[in-house]
Amino acid sequence: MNDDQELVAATLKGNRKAFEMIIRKYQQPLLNYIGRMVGERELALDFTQDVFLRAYACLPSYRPQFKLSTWLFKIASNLVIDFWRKKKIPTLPLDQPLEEDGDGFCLQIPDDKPSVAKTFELGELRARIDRALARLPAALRELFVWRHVNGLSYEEMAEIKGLPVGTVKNKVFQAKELIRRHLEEET
Amino acid sequence: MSCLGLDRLYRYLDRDLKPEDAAEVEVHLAGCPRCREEVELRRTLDQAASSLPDLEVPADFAETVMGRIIRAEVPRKSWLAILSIGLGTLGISLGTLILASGQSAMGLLQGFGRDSLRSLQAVFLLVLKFFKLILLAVKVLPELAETGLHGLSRISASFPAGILAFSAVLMLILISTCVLGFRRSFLVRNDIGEDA
Repeated sequence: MNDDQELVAATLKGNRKAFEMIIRKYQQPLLNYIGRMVGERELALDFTQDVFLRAYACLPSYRPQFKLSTWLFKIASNLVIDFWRKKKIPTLPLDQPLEEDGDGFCLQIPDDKPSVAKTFELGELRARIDRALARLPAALRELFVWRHVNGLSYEEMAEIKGLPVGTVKNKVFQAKELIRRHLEEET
Repeated sequence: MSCLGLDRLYRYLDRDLKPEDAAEVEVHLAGCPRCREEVELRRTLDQAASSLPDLEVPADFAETVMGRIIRAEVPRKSWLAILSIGLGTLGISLGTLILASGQSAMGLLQGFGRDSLRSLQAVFLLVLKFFKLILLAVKVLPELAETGLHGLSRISASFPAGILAFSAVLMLILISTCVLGFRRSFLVRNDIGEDA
């Protein structure tokens, strides 16, 4: 019994073990996402627990035509947005266009210093990306984490945020460029 | 072909370009070391970003969550138990009452029917009286309103116009603040509660 829909159906019939299996399957991706959104592991663990508690309470309203993972990430995203609102953390509106796109955009030419990719080992690069993530506007960080840490498709992200797929792609590219710039600034 | 734009570059890395467009990009990259370096830089960053370390999940995380779920469910179930016991007790008491009264169940039901009819009559009379009271109030209200308005106009005549205007503006601000505040809290609550 590994299929998400089967686990949901079993949970709704009162099988608690089935919901425990859902928790075990999604605890890591949800903690990875929430942890990078709120910045503190302990707080992230609390929020991850809350996601599962909400999911359990709202399971009767879950519609099986949607992926369970998408639904869980949507619950988590609502919790995170709630947290930002309470903390009054500014968020960049997602409908703001990328500075420039299309073939006319000229890439930033690396100057004399070597690029970050050549300067650092992979491990060091990862640590620096993790730090640069914290400097990203929250809305862009969320999409970047979903794409790279959780491996969600653009279509899944668009479904969660209720945005066109093109807009989501554009924002992910914008997040990547901002991270690259932060890394260049550090070197 | 001119140098790659960011959108095209990232779509190329995502394998999101049509085969003919991707081939065109590859031809360009073969002859442009600058773009090649930019593509390689972003490919390396993508690889690093996609292999960020997991945050550590405590070994007993799932058990802890299940514990919270069970604790939340137990009080709900205990209420159900109390309700069942209550209804059961009521049923037993009624049964005992029927037996103790020495009457047949049908006789008791007929008695209950008679009593219900009397109660209905009383309620009907009460409603009638209530309507009479409303009619009386309708007759008296215009006079009362007239007297109230007369009193208000006398009070307002004794105050300067400035103070009256100030009070009116103050009232307007107070009412709009209340309405807007309520609307805002209502909207925020609905938005957060969506989907979960």
